[in-house]
Amino acid sequence: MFTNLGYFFKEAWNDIVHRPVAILFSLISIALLLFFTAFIFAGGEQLQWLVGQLGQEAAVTVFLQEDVARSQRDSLEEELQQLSGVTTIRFVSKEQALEEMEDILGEHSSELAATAGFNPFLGYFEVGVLPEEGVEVAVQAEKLPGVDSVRDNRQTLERLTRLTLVMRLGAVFALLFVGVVMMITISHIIHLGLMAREEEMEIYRLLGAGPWFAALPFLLQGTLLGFSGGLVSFLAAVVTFPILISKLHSALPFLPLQPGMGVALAVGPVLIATGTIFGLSGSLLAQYQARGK
Amino acid sequence: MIIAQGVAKVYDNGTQALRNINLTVKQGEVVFILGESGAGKTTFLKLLLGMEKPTAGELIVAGTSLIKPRAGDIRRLRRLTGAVFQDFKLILGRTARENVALSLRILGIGWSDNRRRSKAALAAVGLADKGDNLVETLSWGERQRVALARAVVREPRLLLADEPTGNLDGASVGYVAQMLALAVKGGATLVVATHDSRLIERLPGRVLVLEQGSLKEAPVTGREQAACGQGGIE
Repeated sequence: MFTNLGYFFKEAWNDIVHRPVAILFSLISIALLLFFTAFIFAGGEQLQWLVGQLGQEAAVTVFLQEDVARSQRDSLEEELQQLSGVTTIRFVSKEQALEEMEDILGEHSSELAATAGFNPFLGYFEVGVLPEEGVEVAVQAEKLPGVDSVRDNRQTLERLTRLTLVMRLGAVFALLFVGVVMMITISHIIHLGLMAREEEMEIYRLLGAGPWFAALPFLLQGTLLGFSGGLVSFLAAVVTFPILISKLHSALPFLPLQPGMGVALAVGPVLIATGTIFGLSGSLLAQYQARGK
Repeated sequence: MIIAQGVAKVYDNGTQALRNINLTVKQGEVVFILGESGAGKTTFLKLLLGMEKPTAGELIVAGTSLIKPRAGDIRRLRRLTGAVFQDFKLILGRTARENVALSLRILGIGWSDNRRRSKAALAAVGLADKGDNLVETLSWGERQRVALARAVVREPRLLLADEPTGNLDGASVGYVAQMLALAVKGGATLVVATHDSRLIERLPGRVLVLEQGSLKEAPVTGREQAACGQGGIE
């Protein structure tokens, strides 16, 4: 079998060259299907990234009441520092809070002009915590005098984690669906090739060839088709994702997003592996059908 | 090499192609099977290659029983065999050399050896300069010689040829006879279905006649008789 490996590749390529239009359309269909799946995977990837980012920033925000005096604020800071699990503490004044928001909004900061000189933000302590003690710190901080409210990102993280799971499950289902459609497409195109060369297969058999001799070029062809479809969809992701994510980032500037190229590179191996595996499966299905006849 | 006992073949449509064939052919023997069209010559060769199954009797070729053979047995038999088909069974869209090389490729012969032997086989049938021609651009006679080159290039133990000179002129018959003689010299058993006396004259061997599905010893010339004698019709 290995003696003829070069021949099998050549045969697979010859068949592609002999019916370029049919093969090209199959390739486009496969690449489009995989590209569609890439979007769902990219969504999951982005959410996972978001959870990771937020998880690293395990923090409790302690908002102060409007009328807290400097001395009360200092004693509050001391009490917060003494709580178990607190790693860092930083005070952000009303003015700084406004500035930070302006920084985040960037070119959209003009929207804050609508507040017409009124600063709607409260001063707050940004308390860095050990992730496992975040809840306890929040509970204790809420009881302290001068505290307006406390916000921790645990709920957000939990919701995002759930959403990530749903997104990933959706991606897996989409992948299975796309895989089955791909398999049918490839098996159809390979089956047509087998039918067109039925007489040739018969000659192979009369010369003593085993079933693999005739089958291998077609298995290679289907695998190559699936692999190429995966590769094309990956390249499309490399080109389009950075543009799309950059646009998304402009629209939602406060959302930490993974750079487009990073998402494309993360999704690429999945696309190529899916294309290759279902390409091979489609070819095997075609062989099975042909043998049945 | 070939043992046939009471072999019969009846096709699904009821046609009795062969009846009660009893024959023993030993390794290295040359057997010509004569007969008119429809006498059963091609059917008999098809049985020997495992393309059809006998409906009665016992048929053993190269140690393989062809009554209820397994796919692997048929494959092994065919790899020992070189066959020249009446309709050539060449692969269109391929060159003459590719068709010949395919025969060796199936046996797993490496690229360089394959190339050398294919070239030599084509040269031996007088087609050295046509190796790169697509088979559909060749004349019928040339195609027939390509088919012969494909059969002998693998140095078969059994060589089956169905009308190998049917489309050939005198000179080409000479090439074919020479190739077949070389194969026999190399140890091949040769079974040829033909009604071409030019070939029988050039190649010593047993001559049998198939008439309405039954095999009979042919009246042979002295020269042919001298060449016979190893096996026989039982």
